[in-house]
Amino acid sequence: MLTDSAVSEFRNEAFTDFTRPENASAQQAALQDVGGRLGRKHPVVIGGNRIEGPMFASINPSHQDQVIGHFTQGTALQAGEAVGAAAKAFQSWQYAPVEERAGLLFTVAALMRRQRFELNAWMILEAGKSWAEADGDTAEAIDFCEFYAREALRYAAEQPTTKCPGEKNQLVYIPLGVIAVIPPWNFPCAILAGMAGAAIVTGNTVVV
Amino acid sequence: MYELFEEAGCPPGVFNFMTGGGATVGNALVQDIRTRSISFTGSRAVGLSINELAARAPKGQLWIKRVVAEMGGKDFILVDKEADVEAAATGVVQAAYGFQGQKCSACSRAIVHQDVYDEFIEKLLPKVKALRMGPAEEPATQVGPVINEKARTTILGYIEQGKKEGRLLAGGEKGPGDGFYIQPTVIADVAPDAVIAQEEIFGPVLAVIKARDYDHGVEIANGTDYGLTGSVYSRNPRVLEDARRRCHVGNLYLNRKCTGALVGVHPFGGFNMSGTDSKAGGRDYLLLFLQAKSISELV
Repeated sequence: MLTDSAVSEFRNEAFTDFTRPENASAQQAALQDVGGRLGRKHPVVIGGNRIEGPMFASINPSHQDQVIGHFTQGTALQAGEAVGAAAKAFQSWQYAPVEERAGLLFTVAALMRRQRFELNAWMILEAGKSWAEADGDTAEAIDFCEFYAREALRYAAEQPTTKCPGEKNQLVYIPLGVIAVIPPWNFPCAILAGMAGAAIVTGNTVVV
Repeated sequence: MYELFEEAGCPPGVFNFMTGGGATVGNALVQDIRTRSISFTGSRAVGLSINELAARAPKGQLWIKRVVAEMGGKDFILVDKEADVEAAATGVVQAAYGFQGQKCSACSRAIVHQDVYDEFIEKLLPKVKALRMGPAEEPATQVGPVINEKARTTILGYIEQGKKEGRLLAGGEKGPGDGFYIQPTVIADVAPDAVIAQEEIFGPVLAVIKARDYDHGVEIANGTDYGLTGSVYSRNPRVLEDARRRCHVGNLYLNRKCTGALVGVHPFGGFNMSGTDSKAGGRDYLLLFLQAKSISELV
């Protein structure tokens, strides 16, 4: 279990130095690897269930004939089902201990560090980001997870109220409910991680 | 991202993942009476439309929806007569052309004091022309393609507009290759109220605007609907002090470029039509996803 005091002070994730040959070759290898996994179908996910439908293609802006993947053309009906699934999950997630919610973001950050070159590669190919821009995007995503996890612990801690004799007073922060998260395409990793991560770590549930 | 959260142990239903059109999926999410809040990052037009849709409260809805919107920018770098012009030109190139200008924080206006205007352009142009354009997967590439054909068409339209509103000094055309390339473009002698000095282009297009003096520069800097990021370059401490007060942007930078905000270090979000000033990566951000409950027990 995490406690506030057990968590180290937040520090920004360092950018990858691509002048180092080992980093450059790791990024090349990840581009090769991801390049071999293009064209997959990506379902929508509602309440943990993957659902496919009519697809649209996402293409590589650097080479417009290259399809990166196929994504599901979701419907308004499915959007409603997703809100329903989020509302159902909120019934329990709102009471999940803050250590569990913060721990989730710390774990996501750790996974991103492990898959850093792979995440970079997807953004290089799908968004047309230079190596440095893609790496900055992943680093920022890790930062958001690490920062908001710590922030959630801070907001869950005791909040100051004015003393009043004969009363025990308390102010607590509780989540809102179902949040529709609509992120932009230009920071595919960082802004999505930040917006969704902030909502989830505070006990809300999301439809992205 | 969904897979990362799933692998990290996020329970089913906590993170639902939808793709599809804004008019169908997006509007359905925004209008659903079970949706409590909308967190949006994107264009001004879509942000305002979401705000309007979310403001309705159909029968059965139990709350006023909270809208958090981060929208566009028409960000500036103001170069004072006492600036390190070389450093300012470098900052402008990085902020204008990083990720092909497709950042809400990208510098799309260089506002330059008339005393250093020619010097600034002289220092700027070789740097712009030295940028290496190419496919993003090439490690040496500094400027890649814009995101899609539609974006390229829109940006090229702004460049045509810009050719009428100023003097084209660099770029101005598609780049070579089988992607959506646009050459890094500089248009100088642009009036502060010109279309390319007012509307967000979201591409590698820089308008250079001449200011009579520093005060005029601040007036130009603040003279758009937006208020996201801006920089002031000057060696004069009094100018920098004044800029702290008068430059009305959510993220103000002094003697450095206006992109590259770091989480925790530079909480990020803008004023006016740039959005609701939700400071991402700052200590206030999580409050946007929370409500406070006061509990009092007689003891």
